[in-house]
Amino acid sequence: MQVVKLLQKSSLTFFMFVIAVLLLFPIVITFTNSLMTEQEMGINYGPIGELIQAGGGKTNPYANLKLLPDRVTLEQYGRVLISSPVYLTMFWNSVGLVVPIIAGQTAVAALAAYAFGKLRFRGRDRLFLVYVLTMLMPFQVTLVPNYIMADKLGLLNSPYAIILPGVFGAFGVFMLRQFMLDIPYAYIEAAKMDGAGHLRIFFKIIVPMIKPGLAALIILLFVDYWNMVEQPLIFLDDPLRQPLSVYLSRISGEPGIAYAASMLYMAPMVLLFLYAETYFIEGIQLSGIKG
Amino acid sequence: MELDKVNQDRRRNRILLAIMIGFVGLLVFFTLFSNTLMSMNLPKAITEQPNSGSLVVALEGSGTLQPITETQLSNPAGWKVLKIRVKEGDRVEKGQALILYDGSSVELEMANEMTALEKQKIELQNLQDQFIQSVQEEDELKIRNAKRAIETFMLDLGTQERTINELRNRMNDQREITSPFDGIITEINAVEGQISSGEPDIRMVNGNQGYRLEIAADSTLVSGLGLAAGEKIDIDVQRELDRQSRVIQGKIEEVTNAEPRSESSYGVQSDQTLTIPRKTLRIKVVDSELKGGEQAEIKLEKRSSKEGLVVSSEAVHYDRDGMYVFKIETLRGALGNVFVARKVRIQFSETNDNKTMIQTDNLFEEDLIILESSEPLQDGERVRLQ
Repeated sequence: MQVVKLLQKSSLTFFMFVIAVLLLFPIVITFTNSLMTEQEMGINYGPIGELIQAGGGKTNPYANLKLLPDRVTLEQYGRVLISSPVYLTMFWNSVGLVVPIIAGQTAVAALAAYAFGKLRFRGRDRLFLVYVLTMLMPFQVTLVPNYIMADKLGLLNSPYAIILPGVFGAFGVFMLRQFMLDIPYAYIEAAKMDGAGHLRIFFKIIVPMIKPGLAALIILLFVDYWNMVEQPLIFLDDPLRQPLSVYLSRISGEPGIAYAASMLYMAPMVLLFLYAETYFIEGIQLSGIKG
Repeated sequence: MELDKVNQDRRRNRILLAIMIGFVGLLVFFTLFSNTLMSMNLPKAITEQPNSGSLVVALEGSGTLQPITETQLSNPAGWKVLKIRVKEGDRVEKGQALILYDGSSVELEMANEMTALEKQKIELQNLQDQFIQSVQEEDELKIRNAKRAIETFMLDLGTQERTINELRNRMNDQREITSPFDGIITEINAVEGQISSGEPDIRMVNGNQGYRLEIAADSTLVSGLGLAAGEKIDIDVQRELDRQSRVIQGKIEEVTNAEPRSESSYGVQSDQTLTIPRKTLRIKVVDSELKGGEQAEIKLEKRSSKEGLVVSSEAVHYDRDGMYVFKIETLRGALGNVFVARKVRIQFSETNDNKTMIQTDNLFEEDLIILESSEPLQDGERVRLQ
């Protein structure tokens, strides 16, 4: 019995290991290649470049995947950070879009989730259903109406065309409401008994309790909006206003800096995830929900 | 145990936060200072502002004065040179004796002929005596014979005298070379005591015909200065003797095409050469003091008739499609201005040694033109202004 269990466990571990390797491989490749010189890059990835240029012609389509650079250099990072200031402009464009969206949506969603989760009013669940329906529809479906609306409001080619719909996204409301449903009414009633108003209840009781939810929401929103490509492409005509994600999708033709740019692009996301992840666990540990 | 883990997590979080702040700080730093950092690596450019106006074109040239007519004199008889009466550079008059030759062979011949003549004259006396004797004998036939003999002999005598005259004339003619005109001796090849070696014994020039100065100049310069045949021009002539110079007026005789000059261009594609058409100016100078061979210079300065932008010639580059200059384009940015070298095609009009007048609609007086750069530039490349 014990042997079977051990076998089961080790095979599972092996399976997980394979999956982990598969998932980590692109990141490792990106990191090591970001330390290569442009010449080495050209030698290794030249065939792909030719393929792109020839429009899928008969050139050898196999690139030479190389894990370790022959000569480690920070040349790529230097080029990205110093000689092409466009990259940094784009980075701040991304920050300028993502930070207001996350701040706005978290605030709006927390308040709305409180209303949908803990307040009792007529038509609450039906209204919530409608709200959730907007979330269920993919962005591409509502693209044209969104575009027309932005046009009518005079928001085209302005970051507000992306920030405003982002702030009022339904996903945060849905997610935080689920967290709030787990909070027993007893807390709220006890607070009410002590004479606390809705605001006090929300900030003193609800917010500390949904901290892990907020952390998760922030991570998910960050990943979602940091990686968006379609919205900026459609709403922002000016290439200098577009975020890094759009720039990165174009930079791939320039292998000399594509990897370094990708690494720098990835960094905030990884850091935020690692940071919020511990917060997440901490939140669960400290919340009153845990048995 | 639980608390340990919490503390550990808190520490981890602090480190992560520090990394995040560091990362953002790094990006902020590069955002603010990348321009400054980058401009340190940019090619340096030295600029100038073009002046609008006309160009001062100057033609400078020098050469030696060459005589227009030159005569070679030699002795056809091939006699030995007896005495040379003149030196190179001497000014001689028409008819002046230049070289004496040794005509002794002719003299000998003449003396022989003279002796022959004397002998003939004595013979004649014999014939006359014969005639007298015949008359005394009164022999009619003999008289007639003697008479015929005398007449024949007289004819021979005449021939002999003509031969002697001929020899005398030759002797007088060939014993010396005289100057055919007023002029200057330029070269003497004859050596006393030797037979001439095939080269003309003496070379002289005609001072009255004047001297010629040939100067080659770029065609554009010649037309820019408006130089044409018949134009008077001042020439600075340096005398050989005392190195003093004197201004003599000359006249342009003709303007002819000369061999084109090739110049390597200093553009981005510097491997090509440019051919510049040239003209030769032939200037005639007449002056009694000149001898030929003097160094002469001309220096002309004139404002060009056309107007345009005047830039330094170093700023003008050449490539396959023609000429261009780089001007500085200022891009205004939030974090300081960016200077970019922009290629501007120009039409060439005139140039002198260091300035070029260009014509273009794309340049203005307030534009900065790149004069020199630390590396070859490309269109649109960023530069650092010096």
